[in-house]
Amino acid sequence: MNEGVCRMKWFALRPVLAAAAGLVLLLGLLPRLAPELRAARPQAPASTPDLTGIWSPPRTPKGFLPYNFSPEAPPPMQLWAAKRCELVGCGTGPLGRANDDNMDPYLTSCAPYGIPRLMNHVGPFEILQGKNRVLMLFETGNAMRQIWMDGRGHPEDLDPSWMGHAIGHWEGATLVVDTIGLTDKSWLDTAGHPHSDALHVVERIRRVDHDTLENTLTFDDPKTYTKPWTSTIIYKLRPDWSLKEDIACEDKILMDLKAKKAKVYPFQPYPMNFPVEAIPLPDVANAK
Amino acid sequence: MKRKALAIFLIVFGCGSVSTAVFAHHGASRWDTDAWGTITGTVKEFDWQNPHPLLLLDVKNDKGDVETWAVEFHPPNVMSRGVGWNHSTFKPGDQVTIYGHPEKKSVPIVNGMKSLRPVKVTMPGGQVVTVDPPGY
Repeated sequence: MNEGVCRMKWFALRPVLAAAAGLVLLLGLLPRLAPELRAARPQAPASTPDLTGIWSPPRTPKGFLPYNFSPEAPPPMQLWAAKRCELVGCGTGPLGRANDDNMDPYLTSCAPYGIPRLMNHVGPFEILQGKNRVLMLFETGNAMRQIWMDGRGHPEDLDPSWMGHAIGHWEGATLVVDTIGLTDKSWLDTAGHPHSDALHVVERIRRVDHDTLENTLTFDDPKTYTKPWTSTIIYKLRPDWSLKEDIACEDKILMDLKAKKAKVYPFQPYPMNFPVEAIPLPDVANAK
Repeated sequence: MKRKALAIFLIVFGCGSVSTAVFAHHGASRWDTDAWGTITGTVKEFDWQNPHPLLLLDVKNDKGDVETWAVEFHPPNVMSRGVGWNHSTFKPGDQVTIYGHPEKKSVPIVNGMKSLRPVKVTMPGGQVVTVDPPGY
């Protein structure tokens, strides 16, 4: 190999190198010039606000945020609702929970939290934005909420459900979600406020800053409340979190499976681990 | 375990400064949050389950008899994010000390097992972990 050949080769390659460098530069700049070309993830178009991420209420010195959609004063309740709230002890338990948690459908019967209770709970939820839907995946009970964004309305004569029927649209940077069709078996919140199947929830969800989501909920339920009322909840972005499995009443399930072990798991080749003891609720109500 | 198990200290202080009651599944009113107690014992079983991980701890009482205590923690996902626990955090035979609130005297003992609402735990390795509030 002599020097002349090397120099010649270098000269010959120069246009190729220049072209390669140009290509690298172009590829590097392209995403900045055209953000839509970066759309590797199935997200909403760049023109709609991005609410995606995992969110949960912040912790305060006293614990998690309130559990109670009406922490300052009782909401404007109809007589029956006020009576039930008095019996439950709405918001008078620790951290704004109901005082008598034996009346909580989740704690007594493994009932789903449902909407709107899930929107005011310690468990994180993830927002995913698709073309025609915004999805909310809740860790608590691993529940899923779909918000239709394709302009459809609510169906006639909805079957009551725990998550309800939700339709949404954008008003500027705010996601407006309209939910009806909610079962009256769920609690409105962990404070124990009741609601009927006439409950109509309107949520206005917006990103206050990069790490903060604000949800202002309006509850309109004339069977339960004398007038519509609102509540504002804050969620913080949890960039390092991922949603985990959360099985309601797993302890009760394991006890039940343990009792049916021989029937459910025949030919099991290795010993199965089950909790040794069920820990039933103590009779606190009758304790002095 | 030849190690002589430590006695149970149930020390009642008049102050009630801890307000981070959570354990609502089994009734927040079950616990005497004005009182503090410490138990040290040997892990009999650790059940990593929703809604509350359950630790069964064999503790010698002051008469030398072994009693099994049932200690429940915040939900698995909270303990996982807050203090990094998982299903193998405790193994049978581990020595553990729990510092927390005892049950009210008026609350009936469940399944013959006493309980404590844990606030701090001395782990098998000796480090002390605050489990209430659980860190996030």
